Amino acid sequence: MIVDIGYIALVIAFVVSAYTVVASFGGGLRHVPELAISGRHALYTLPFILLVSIGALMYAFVNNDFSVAYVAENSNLAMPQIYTWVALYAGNAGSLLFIAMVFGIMASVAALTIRRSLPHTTPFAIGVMALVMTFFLGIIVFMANPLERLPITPADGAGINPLLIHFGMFIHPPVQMAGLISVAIPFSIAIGAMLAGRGGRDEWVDLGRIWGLISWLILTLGLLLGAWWAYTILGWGGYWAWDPVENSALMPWLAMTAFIHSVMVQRRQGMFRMWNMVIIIIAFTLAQMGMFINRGGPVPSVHSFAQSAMGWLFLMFMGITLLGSLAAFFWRMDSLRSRGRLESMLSREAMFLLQNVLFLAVAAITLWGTIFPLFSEVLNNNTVTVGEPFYNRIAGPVLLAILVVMGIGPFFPWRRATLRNLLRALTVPIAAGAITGIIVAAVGVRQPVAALAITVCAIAAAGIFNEWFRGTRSRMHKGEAVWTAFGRLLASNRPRYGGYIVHLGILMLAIGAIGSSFYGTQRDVSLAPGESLTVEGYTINYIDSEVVQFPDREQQTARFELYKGGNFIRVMEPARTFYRDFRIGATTAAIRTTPLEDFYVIPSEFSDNGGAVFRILVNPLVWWMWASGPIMALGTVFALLPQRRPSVVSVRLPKGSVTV
Amino acid sequence: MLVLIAILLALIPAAVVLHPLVRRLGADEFLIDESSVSAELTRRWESALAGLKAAELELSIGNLTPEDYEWLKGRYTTEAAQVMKAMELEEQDEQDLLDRITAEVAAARARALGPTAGDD
Repeated sequence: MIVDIGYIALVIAFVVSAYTVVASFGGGLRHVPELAISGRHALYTLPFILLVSIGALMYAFVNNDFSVAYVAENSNLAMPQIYTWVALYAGNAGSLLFIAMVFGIMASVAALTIRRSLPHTTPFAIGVMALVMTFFLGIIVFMANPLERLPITPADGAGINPLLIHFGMFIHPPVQMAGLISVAIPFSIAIGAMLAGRGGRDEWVDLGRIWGLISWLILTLGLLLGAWWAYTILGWGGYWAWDPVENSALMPWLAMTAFIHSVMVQRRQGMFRMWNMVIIIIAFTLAQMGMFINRGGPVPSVHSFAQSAMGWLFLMFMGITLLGSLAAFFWRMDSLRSRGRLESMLSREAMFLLQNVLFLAVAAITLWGTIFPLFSEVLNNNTVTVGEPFYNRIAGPVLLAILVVMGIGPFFPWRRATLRNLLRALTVPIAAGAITGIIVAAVGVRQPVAALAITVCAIAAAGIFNEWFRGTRSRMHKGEAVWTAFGRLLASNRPRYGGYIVHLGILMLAIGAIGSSFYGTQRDVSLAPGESLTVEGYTINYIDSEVVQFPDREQQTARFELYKGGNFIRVMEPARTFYRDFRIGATTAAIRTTPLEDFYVIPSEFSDNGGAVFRILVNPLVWWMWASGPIMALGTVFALLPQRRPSVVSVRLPKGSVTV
Repeated sequence: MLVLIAILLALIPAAVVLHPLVRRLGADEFLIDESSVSAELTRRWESALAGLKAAELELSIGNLTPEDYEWLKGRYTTEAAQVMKAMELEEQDEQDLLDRITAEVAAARARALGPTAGDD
């Protein structure tokens, strides 16, 4: 009965969501406050109703109720109960319900935060959010019901996809899904303001920026967690393969990065009003593209666990929202003209614009690489997949240019900079870059791209630390102690210095990517028990391997002793597991991580005599990539902390006085 | 039992949704306009002040030369002064409007009541 209650709750949620669309748009258009409030209240009820459905599904999982098709497809009696959480979103229907739940919570919180400061925009923003929600709930109720019953109850379920049995799966998919759907919040606020005829001024920008930053942070963490999962469980030694599903998460991230920067120009100068609307529309379109690819899109991907035939519905919805948003944009275009104008190409605004163009260029390159197999199939009847060399060759230089802009952009003042001024501000960072370049050449870095990238990172880092040093010193001259001065400097402009902390995180990410991409070592070796091998100063001594039979899988684990410089470090145990029912092999890497480098071993195949083929990698600086996540999160949260607003002081000037 | 729970489940959102309609809530829902001139002027005031603050910070840490700082300061001060002037005018306009309405209401009331006793 609980499962049936869950389904009834789903239907009620769908009806309530559809009502929210009608009431919110109706209340906003006709200026009927009670209708608008009714729509808003309807939105608030959605997370609670959906909680009943999610609870019912969890109940079915915990009680092994295989009469529910989704439970039978995504769990079995052998599955540890802790994986119920993962199983919840392991399949298409469950993940859609999860997305609806997360979006319901986010939309309700967003409605609470915008309703007071944007009263005219709120009904339209809620209407847009509810439209997205109704689409998801419609799909769930009519096409992908996770609480659907089977005509005959099987004795056991098929079990969870083995690739999902990993600690990272507790966090990565939910964060990734939440990230993609969260783009709908700043999109709804922006479109809501435009529909309400309020987009022409900048009232929506503060809240649009806040929700843009939240969405950006969730997308960033989702991407990093995905890379970490790929590195530790997929067992190919890398963390990013330009796979279509990875790309589909990267593209909205790129667009949102552009948005959270350019929206600051609108906030400060009343400029880029049309541009910001266009960027947020692009970001939401790309987020929907991600969901389309993830759910039965036609592009081949290693991420096949959530595929279904309903991808085309997502594509259709993406087309409808894109056309609808563009129609609203052209309808309100006249009211979106900028208050100010670009006063100089040597200004912070111009740097933001350049950065925006570069980010969108990378997004366009990634999109082209992702959908190219489709075109090749249609045109040549032959699917040509686009791999890493394409992205490295085309997107690589643009990413490098982004690093340059990130490094020098913050030193361009708003409105205008003279060359003398810029030279003064950039002297220390460029000197630091030059010294780094010389050191890099002296230590034997011969890859020009890597040397250039490291130099650019040094310029950016030196710029940040130099500003912090000078700012702190300046405050210390007023008698403040060093840490007080530093803390107050950061607090004096939270968006700016929060951004700097995020930039430091990006630099850590870049350093990790440069190190592992250009200076990684890979060896494929065949070893018999007792044999040793030395790679990049590490010596491994292969002891033996052991096969263990489990009810659902066969696992073969190799044992190594790892030494460096003659010193014993530890025993490493990489494994290869074959899941009989799924006919899937999974590799568990053994990794020894230090900030300097990772020593990474994976077994490729075992022979009957105990020998085995191993892939051994030494990946420099990967640790910095994982460490960048918390730094970026810290910086974003810091930038989000409310800043004390300057108050309007009314001063009555004496008659005849002249104002400048 | 299932039907009863389903009805209960449907009644909760129905009550929440109907409450504002039945009680006719929200008389002040659209009173404040986020796009009003005064809201826009406040935003511009904050923007000019934030610009000034940022320029001072840039000067103190050596990112700005004194000449560039003076130029920026001039621009932001002009903007702030223009905003203040506009705010005053806005305030004056509001006051004029209020005075006019009060006068019209008083006149209308006087007309409605007719000449009071003792007028002639």
